Amino acid sequence: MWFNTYTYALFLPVVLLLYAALPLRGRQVMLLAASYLFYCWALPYYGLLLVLSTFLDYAMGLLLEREQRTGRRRLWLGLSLAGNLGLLGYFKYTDFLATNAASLGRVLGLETHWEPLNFILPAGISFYTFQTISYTFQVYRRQYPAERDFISFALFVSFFPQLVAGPIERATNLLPQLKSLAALRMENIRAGLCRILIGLFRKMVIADRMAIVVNGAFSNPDACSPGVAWLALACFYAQIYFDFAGYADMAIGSARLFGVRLMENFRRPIMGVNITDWWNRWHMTLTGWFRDYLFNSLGGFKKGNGRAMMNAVIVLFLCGLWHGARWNFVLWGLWNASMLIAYYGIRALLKKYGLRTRQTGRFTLGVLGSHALIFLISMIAALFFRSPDLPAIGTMLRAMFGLNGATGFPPYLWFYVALLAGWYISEAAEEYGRVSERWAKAPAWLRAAAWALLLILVALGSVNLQTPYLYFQF
Amino acid sequence: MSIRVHSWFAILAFVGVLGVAEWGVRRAMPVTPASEAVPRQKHRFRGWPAFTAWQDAPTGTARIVWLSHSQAYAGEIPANRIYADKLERALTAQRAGGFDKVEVMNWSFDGVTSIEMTLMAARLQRADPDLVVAAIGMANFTIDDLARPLSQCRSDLPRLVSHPEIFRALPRAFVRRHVPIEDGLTVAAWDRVGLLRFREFAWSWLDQQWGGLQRGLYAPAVNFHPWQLAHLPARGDFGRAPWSKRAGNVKARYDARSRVLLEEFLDLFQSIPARRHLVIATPHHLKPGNAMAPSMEIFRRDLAALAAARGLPFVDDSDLYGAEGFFDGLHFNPDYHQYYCETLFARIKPLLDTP
Repeated sequence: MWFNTYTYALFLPVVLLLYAALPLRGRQVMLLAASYLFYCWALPYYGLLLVLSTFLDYAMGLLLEREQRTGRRRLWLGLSLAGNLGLLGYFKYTDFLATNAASLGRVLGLETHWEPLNFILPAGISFYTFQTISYTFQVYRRQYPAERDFISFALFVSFFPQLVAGPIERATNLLPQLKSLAALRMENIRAGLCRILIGLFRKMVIADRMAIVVNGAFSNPDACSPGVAWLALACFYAQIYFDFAGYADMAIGSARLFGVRLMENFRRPIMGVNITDWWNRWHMTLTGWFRDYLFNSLGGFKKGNGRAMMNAVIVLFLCGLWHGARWNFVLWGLWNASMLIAYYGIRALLKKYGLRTRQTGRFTLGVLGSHALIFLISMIAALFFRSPDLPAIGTMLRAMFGLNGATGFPPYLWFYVALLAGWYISEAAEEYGRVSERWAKAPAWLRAAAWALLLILVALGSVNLQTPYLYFQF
Repeated sequence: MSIRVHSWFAILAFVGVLGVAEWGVRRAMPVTPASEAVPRQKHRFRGWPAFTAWQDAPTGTARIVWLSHSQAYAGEIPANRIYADKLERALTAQRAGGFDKVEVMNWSFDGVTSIEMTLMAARLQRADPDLVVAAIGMANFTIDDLARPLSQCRSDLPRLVSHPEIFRALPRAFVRRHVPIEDGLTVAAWDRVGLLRFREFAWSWLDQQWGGLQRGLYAPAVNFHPWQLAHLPARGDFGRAPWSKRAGNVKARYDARSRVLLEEFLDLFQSIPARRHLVIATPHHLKPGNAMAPSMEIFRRDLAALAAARGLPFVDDSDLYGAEGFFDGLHFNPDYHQYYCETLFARIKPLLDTP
């Protein structure tokens, strides 16, 4: 089930009404049933994977808690990782690995062939497996006690607002809330609905509109002039941000209706002033996951700069693969890793010569330049991310540098330029002017009228182009 | 859960703004005249629930409902030159059946699908026309329709699905095939909320004046105006996307699987409480070697057999005219609207004259 559907618009109030009518245990059971209904709506049999993942990590959590011997604890942790990553790997990477192995075999003169299995990737598998792995790690590290109540744990794994595309929650944040689900409160409902509305606007009005240019340009890059090609990349950067941030808004808003506060996933990435700052603002729960469970496990910054850079390359390579079993995602990861290494290098040089600038928190010309540079890096990353395969990257690169001979820039595309400018200005206003804090002090009736106008804008401004949430494919 | 006083003001403001907007857009959208009042649906794809609303005919007036496709709509020529309008005038002038007036209600439009045909037949289950005609072609019952949900129809006829009497009249298999829950809810919302309908009106309005806006900013895959609005001056052009491709020729296919669509439609068509029914395979001309020829043949055979099995009078006009009759193999050259009108007149007047 998608958030931006009428089915969800019917589903959510029904769940909310049932929630209001039930005691705590009933709420948990009902939310669990609703979550499975939500997940199994399109492909019911993939619910079994969710059940499998739940049982595995519930059991491993209990075993980890009871066990004191380090070797055994590592064994249980390893079993959990093998189970979760095995599930993910089987459905997501089998074809990719086998096809590439077969190609390599042919290069080496072997008679190798692989008939692709062409699985339909179970929705959200990359998200809920990472969430359950995080739980097992937290229990392993004694950061959180193993959950004994199976219903609460099953709900933690499958809680529908964040099941399919995150935020990737931590047991420390989500489980205590799910164990003590509070009664409905007007404040939560108002905040939740407003957040859902923002998510709808971001997805249906902005992201889907950007997709018009992006899909068109990537469907026929040879027809694109340099201006159009660069605009398409900028639009894709905007599309993926508004699409995914819109989804996160709806997830966070839906959970808030029940009084559950999910972790934030985005914090105005366009305002990132350097590459690490950008990563601290983009898909924060995934970045945090990789930092806590992979980067730090590999030694993080503790073993010197060289090792830290190698760790960053490994993490971003795997982060690329997490997004999809395609070489373009690997390139995306490596591009980001190279930018990170370049940033660390430049920072070290600046420090050596005493030129390191301090961030004042004010909007200056230097900040504007940093934003522009990060935007450019993100646009090039978007090229790797959006291209369906490696040859497509080459075709688009030719268009970007005018090597395909195409010219022209249809006047209507200036509307998209204006939208991108509007995005920057609004984020800058919030980052440096704290607009939402000021807006929160406006009279309630005025804010309500503005929310109604936003709803009207969604109704009138959404696009006649059904685009699934981009992160559903991961 | 308690709600404070200022929250009530906020709720009132929220509902008030939405209410004013809904009222405003309903007033802004043009009113669609009923089908007995105009020769064809002037907005083409929108306003069909109003256009097909059934009122009892005044005394002395006969009604013919004409279910058909773009050939009968003939948007390329003025409304008073299409064969449906000519037929209405001719039958009225000759006092066919002794009626003072004969109204030909032209329920046809471009690219009509089996889904819309079946919905129009369902719409007529409580109507009592003197004659109901299904003038159809292979392209209206292609296998593509089998997997087509309601939301992919060009017209807003799917709105009718959310009307209980229409929903009840539809075959269960049709509902299972074409009305998944999401689509059912979508058309229900679309039918009841003016703000949702207004969006397409607004984009059609903008695009008719400033070409390129609809495809560039709203609906890249839609190559028609959902609302056709007459007398809007073209004020400018916003350009065309460089990646746009010109639409190719339609390649419709009909085979044994499509038969179920035709059967469902004819079952409902047969149960319309009209005085007379008539099924016509519409004229067309295919160039030699056209890939659609085998599909056409299967369709003609099926239509003849299925109509006969239901006792429905059937006329096969497929080969009535040669290439000279059409500008593209399906749509009549202007003179042929007159010729076809004369052919139809000769068939239909006796039907009305017979008690």
